[in-house]
Order: sequence, then C-alpha cells, then structure tokens
Amino acid sequence: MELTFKQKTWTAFAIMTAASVVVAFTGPWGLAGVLPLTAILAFWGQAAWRPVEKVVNEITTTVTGVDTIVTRANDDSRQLAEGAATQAASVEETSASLEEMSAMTAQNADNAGQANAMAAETRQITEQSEQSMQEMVAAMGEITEASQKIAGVIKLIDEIAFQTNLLALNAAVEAARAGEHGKGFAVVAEEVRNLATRSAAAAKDTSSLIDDSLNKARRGQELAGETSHALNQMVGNIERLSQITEEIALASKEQAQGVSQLNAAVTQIDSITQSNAAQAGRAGEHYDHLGRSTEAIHRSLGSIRRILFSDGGETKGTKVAGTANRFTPPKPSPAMERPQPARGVSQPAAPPATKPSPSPPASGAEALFPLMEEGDEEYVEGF
Amino acid sequence: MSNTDTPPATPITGKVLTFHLGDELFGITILGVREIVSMQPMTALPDTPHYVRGMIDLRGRFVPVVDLRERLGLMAGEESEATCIVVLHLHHTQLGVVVDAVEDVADVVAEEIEPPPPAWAGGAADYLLGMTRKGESPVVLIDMDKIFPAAEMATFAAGEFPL
Repeated sequence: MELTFKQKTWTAFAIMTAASVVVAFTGPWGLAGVLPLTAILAFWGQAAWRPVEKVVNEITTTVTGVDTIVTRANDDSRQLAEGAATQAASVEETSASLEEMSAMTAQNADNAGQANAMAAETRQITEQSEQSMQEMVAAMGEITEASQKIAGVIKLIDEIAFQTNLLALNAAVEAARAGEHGKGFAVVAEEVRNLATRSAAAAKDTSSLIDDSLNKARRGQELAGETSHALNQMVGNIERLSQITEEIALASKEQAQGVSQLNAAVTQIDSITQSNAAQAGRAGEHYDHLGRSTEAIHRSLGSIRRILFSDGGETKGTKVAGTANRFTPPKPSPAMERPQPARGVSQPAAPPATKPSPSPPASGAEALFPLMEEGDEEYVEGF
Repeated sequence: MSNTDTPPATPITGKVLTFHLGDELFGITILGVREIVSMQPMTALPDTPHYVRGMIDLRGRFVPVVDLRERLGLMAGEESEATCIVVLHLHHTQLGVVVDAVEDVADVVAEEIEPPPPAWAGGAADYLLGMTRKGESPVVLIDMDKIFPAAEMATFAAGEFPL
C-alpha cells in the first residue's frame, strides 16, 4: 500500500502521538517498545523525502531547460524585431523611390504628349510647305513656257534679221555693179544692213536674257525638287516620331500601372512589417513574462528546497535567480519601445528551515511571488 | 605682187565681199558676185569632182554649187544657220560657192593690200591676191577665176566655155 506524503505524515504523527501516549502510560518500558517504532518511522520519513527531492530536481532541470529555450527564443525575437526595423527602413526607401518613379513616369508621359503635339504641328507646316512648293513649281512651269515662246519669237526675229542682211548684201552687190548710179542705193543698202545688224544684236541680247531666265527657272525647279525631297523625308521622320511618342506614351501608361502595383505591394509589405514588429514586440513581452515566471519558479523551488532540505543554493544544476540567466527584455525597434522591467535578484521570504509547511501554493500566490506584476497572474494560473 | 614668175594679179580696188571659211576671212571682188542666198537643199550631181555639192534651183535656173573649203583643202566644217551660198558669175555662167558666213561689203584701197606671206607661195600663189585688214582681222584676198578655171568648170557646169 503506497501512501501519499500527506498520508504518511499524518500516519507518522498519529503513531508518534500513540507512542507518546503509550510511553506516558507505560513509562520507560514503553519507550523500549517505541524506540524501534521511532527508528522505523525515521527511516520511512527519510525515504519519503527522496521522491520529493527527485521531483524537485526534475522540476528544476525542466525549468532550467525552459530558461535556455526562452533565452534563445528571446534572442530570436530580438533579431526578428531588428530585422523588422531594417525592413521598415527599406520599405520607406522603396516607397520614396517609387514616388520618384511615379513622378518621372508622369513627366515622361507629359513630354511624350508635347512631342506628339509638336510633331503634328510640324507635319501641318510641312504639308503647307509642300503645297506652296507645288504652286511655285507650277508658276515656274508657266515662266518656262512663256520663256520658250519668247525664245521662239526671238529666233524668228533673228532669222528675219539674217535674211534682211542677205538682202542688204545683195543690194550692195547690185549697187556696186551699178557703179556711180548705185551709190545712193548702196547707202540705203548700208542702212538696211545696219538695221538688220541691230535687230540681230537685240535678238541676241534678248536670247541670252531668255536663256538666263530659263536657266534660273530650271534651277528653281531643281531646288524645288530637292526641297520636296527633303520635305518628304521630314514627313517620314515625323511619322516615325509620332509612332515613337505613341509607344512612349503607352509604355508610360504601363509603367504607371506597374508603379501603382508596386506601391500596393510595398504598402502590403509595410503593414506586414509593422505587424511583424508588433508581434516581435509582443513575443518579447511574452518571453519577458516567461522569464519572470521561470524566475518565480526558481524562487519557489528555492523555497521548497529550503523548506525541505535547508538547501537554498545549487542542487543538480539549479540556478535560482542567478544573474547569468536573467532575461533582459530586448529593444526590438524604436517604434516598438517597451518599458524595461528592472528585475532585481529576488529573495523570497526565508521560511523556517526544517518546518514542514505543506500549505499548497495555490492560495499563497502573492506570498511566494512577491515581486510579481499585475499582468502576470494569467501566467501563474497554470502552475 | 610677190612672185615675179606669175603674171601680175588683177589689182582689187573698190568693193570687196568678205566671208568666213572656218575662222579665216576671205575677200573677193564684188564684180563677180551675182547674189547671196541662204543654204537650201541641193540635188546631187553624179560623176563630178568631190568638192561639187550639187545643184540648186535659182528662180528656174539650175546652178551648180561647190564647197570652197574642200576645194581649197581646208578642214571640213559644220554647217550653221549662217552658212550661205554666194552665187558667182564666172566664165559666163553661174556658180554657187558655199561659205560659212558672209561678213560685209567693204572698200579696199590698193595701198592697204599687202603681199601674201612667202610660205603660201607655191600652188596657192596664183589665186592669192594679197592680204588686207578688216578691223583687227586679216583678210585673204582671192581670185575666183583662178580657183575655178574654165577647164575645171567644164567638168561639172553647163554652158559654153571658151577654152
């Protein structure tokens, strides 16, 4: 029959009381009978402590393990919080860059629109120029036609002058053969020849002027042809320009869409980052509480030890509120400032050394966890 | 009159018709000139000397036409609008001579006539009458009677030729 500690203790008390009564009634002889009983009780009692000690050691080991885990978890949580801070900074930079990009995209689209408008204007001017040139070419064609007619007339005049000259020469011949009688006629012939010469000279002058005019008209037509060619090239270039600016406008639109999508994604990242940071902060708080709780546990264990074994120090790797194992709550980020609970090495009230105090810890929470804070109650309930 | 072997050439005084053959100016006495006409289509004459260009119809009469440049041995030239036919009265008949251009009817005074350069002596000497000037240009005076003697004309021209 295995009794609980409590039962054993009450039994021992009962037996001792009975033994005392027996001794009281039987005197020193009863003592002789009671002594073996007492020895057995002492032995029994000692044996009863061992499971308790074992359990206390187990608890200590487990809590120490929890300590380690919590420390590591706290470190992780701190790193997470730092990472979240860095991420938040990057997100801000990205946001700023995106805004710049947005502005530039808008400007690009604007510029493309302006370029397009100018291209359209230029195209209009080019078409007008083309039209003017056609008119000019037509006018020059008329000049050429008129000049050619004049040239024809000039040629006629020239021919007449030539024939007149021949006639005058013939007249001079006849006059010469007529001798004296032909002298007057010779003079007339001479005058006619002069007239013919002047006609021929005038015709030659006009002819050269007409040639000059025709040359100029032809040169003008050549220039018009070159200009027309250049204008055509311009029109071609303007078409390409229009195409390119259209493409730019389209690309700008797509770019703007992309930027706004990026913006949405970045906002999302931002909110996630914030929530991550908050969570890291909360996790830190949780670890904080855990830390305090394990400290409290250690203190309780210390109490138990002192109560059971008069041992307030180390047993099987127990560290009771040692500074090396303290949980300093980390600072995750400037935005996540959390109050740093300062923890001093807790010294629970030292209970009497050998007094067995089997009072259950449930109701004595405040007494055993003297430095507990308000919000920690929920963590103590589980114990 | 440079050459003492030839009979003295007929001195030219009075009117001289000057004309171009290529770049050179030549002159003949006006007394032999009948008229001047512009170039016209010619009817070819077979079996005639190479310098005979053909025949033209001059107011009902047929007049043979010769190329003077070819006859004188000058390089052949191109016909232009100024090319004319000088119709001469030669050996009692008419002969047309193709010239590149007719220049003028001018007076020539005997004192202004210079003897031709000695280099031209030889075959050409008999029809060269001398040199003179018209303005800046030298004029070579020639005698058509000597260029186309009667005997030669008989080979291509109609008419009576006192031989």
